[in-house]
Amino acid sequence: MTVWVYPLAMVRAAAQFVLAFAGFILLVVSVLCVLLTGPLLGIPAILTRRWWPDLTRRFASWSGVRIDRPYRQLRESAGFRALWKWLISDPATYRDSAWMLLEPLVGGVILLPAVLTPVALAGAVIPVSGWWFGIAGWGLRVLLVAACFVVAAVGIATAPALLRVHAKWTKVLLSPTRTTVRLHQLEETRSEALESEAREVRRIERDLHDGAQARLIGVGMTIGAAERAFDRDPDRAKELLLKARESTALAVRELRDLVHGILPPVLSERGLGDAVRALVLEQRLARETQIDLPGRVAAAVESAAYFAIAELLTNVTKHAGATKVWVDLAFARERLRIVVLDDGCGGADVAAGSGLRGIERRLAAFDGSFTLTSPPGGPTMVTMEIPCALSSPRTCTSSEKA
Amino acid sequence: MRVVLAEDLYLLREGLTLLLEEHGFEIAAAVASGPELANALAERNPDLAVVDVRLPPTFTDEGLKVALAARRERPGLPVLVLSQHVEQLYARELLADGVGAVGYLLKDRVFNAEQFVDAARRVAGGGTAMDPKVIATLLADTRRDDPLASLTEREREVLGLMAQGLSNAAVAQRLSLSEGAISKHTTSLFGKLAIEAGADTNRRVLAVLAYLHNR
Repeated sequence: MTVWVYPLAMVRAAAQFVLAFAGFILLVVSVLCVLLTGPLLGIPAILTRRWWPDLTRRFASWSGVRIDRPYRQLRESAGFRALWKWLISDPATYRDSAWMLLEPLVGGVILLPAVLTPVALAGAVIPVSGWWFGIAGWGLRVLLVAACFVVAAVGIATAPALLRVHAKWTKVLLSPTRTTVRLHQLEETRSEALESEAREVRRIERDLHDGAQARLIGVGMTIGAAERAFDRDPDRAKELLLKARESTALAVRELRDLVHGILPPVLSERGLGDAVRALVLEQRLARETQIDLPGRVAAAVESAAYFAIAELLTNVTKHAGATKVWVDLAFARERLRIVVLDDGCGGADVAAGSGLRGIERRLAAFDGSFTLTSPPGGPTMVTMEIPCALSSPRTCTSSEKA
Repeated sequence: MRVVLAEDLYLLREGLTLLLEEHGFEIAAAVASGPELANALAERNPDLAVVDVRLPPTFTDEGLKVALAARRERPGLPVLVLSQHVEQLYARELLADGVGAVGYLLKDRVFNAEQFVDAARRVAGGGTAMDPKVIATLLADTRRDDPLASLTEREREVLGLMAQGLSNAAVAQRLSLSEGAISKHTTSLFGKLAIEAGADTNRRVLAVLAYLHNR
């Protein structure tokens, strides 16, 4: 921090002070446009004037205050009418207006000392330079100069702090409301959930189409050939039937894997607790599970939690070089809490792997949280929490070592 | 040999009935739900129960639960459990009482009628029939410090087949080796794994499974 921070803040504050009044004029013009011409000039006016709150949001970062843009997302294919509706139904438009109306008053008062600084400095020069010579006595002149310097000094000294106060005031009206933030988040997770579901359906369709369906056609053809060969070449027919049987077995195996990928049967038969137990048993590592889940949670939560744990365990086996893994599953205070810990090499990073990022995104759809700690050298610990409700209480608390 | 069969899908139930009758089993009852199975097991006192894991009314693991409950009533009641998928978790539960006379197979094993019927007979006779897939996961990817890693390829094969529940003679037949060679392999691998091996096939199979599960 250098001394330059103070004059710089003063200049910035003064600039914002002046702009506050320019912004007020902008508000008046835009309101007139809307009232007189409706959407015709209203749309360009509202869109254009957003430039000013946007600039102020950027100014707030001078003081380290972060203000996100609150405006709703516009869907791409929107027409003129939709554009108008989008603008006038967005609460941010009205909050912008309120801010532009109040800014000359509130912002003006907050920033006033900074603006007074140059005025005071100018005022100090006048008596010294002798313009007031004869108008006031020496004693009064010294007093005036001193007062001006005091005002200037206070203005400069308080400029950074006042700028920060101004940024905080700005944040009150210009940042998204809690509802808007939530709305954004819901829109995002919803579209992600829908997309991943569509992707999943496409994958299943492709797997069935290229796998079991194709194989069964093959079986049918082989049996047809066996039928034709039955009389003239029984040995050949037998051979073909054997082939058909083998293909059927393969189709069954493929279908089983497909079903497992959609919803593991043990999950629907036993619920999350036993499904995780079964999953951990398949790991060829030393493992320890602690499961305290007295009942079942919603099917969607079960499934998300199961696949998240499955993916984490795959990571542990593939990348961590671990010798032991701990899985802890508990339900408390309306939250499902899952901890997966391994003694591997650590260094996992959400940003680096699409897998971890994917888990985080999927859990976000449930308002769940995903925390990863993985220092280089290990251990790696993932904590996931999903808010949910427990149904059909039934005790199945147990722990198991292997 | 009297069998109680529980399978909710009509086609599979008929198919299994046909297959078992063809091979000299007598179907005492063929039922389609959990409660019916519980009744049939209590009333008919069969020599073997062939049970689908998933049964109405809950369509969860109803069949497995009824079978396990029946075995608590009548320890050692031979139960052959069939399923569309195999889980080590279920295998453990079936083996937990240490009595044996249990089987746990994928449904598609019926494609090979001889081996399936052989497994059913083995279970009825107090033996064990574990699906190759269950055993494969048990034997898979051993850690370096694991005694299993010290087995030869052949010994591993023998161990896998034994864990499925096969006798020395059957293992010899599967691998096209002499029984003498097999017993040499078993002696060696039991030594390496430090398993107490009795002469009795059933007890030996259970010892192997217990070893693999507790590893």
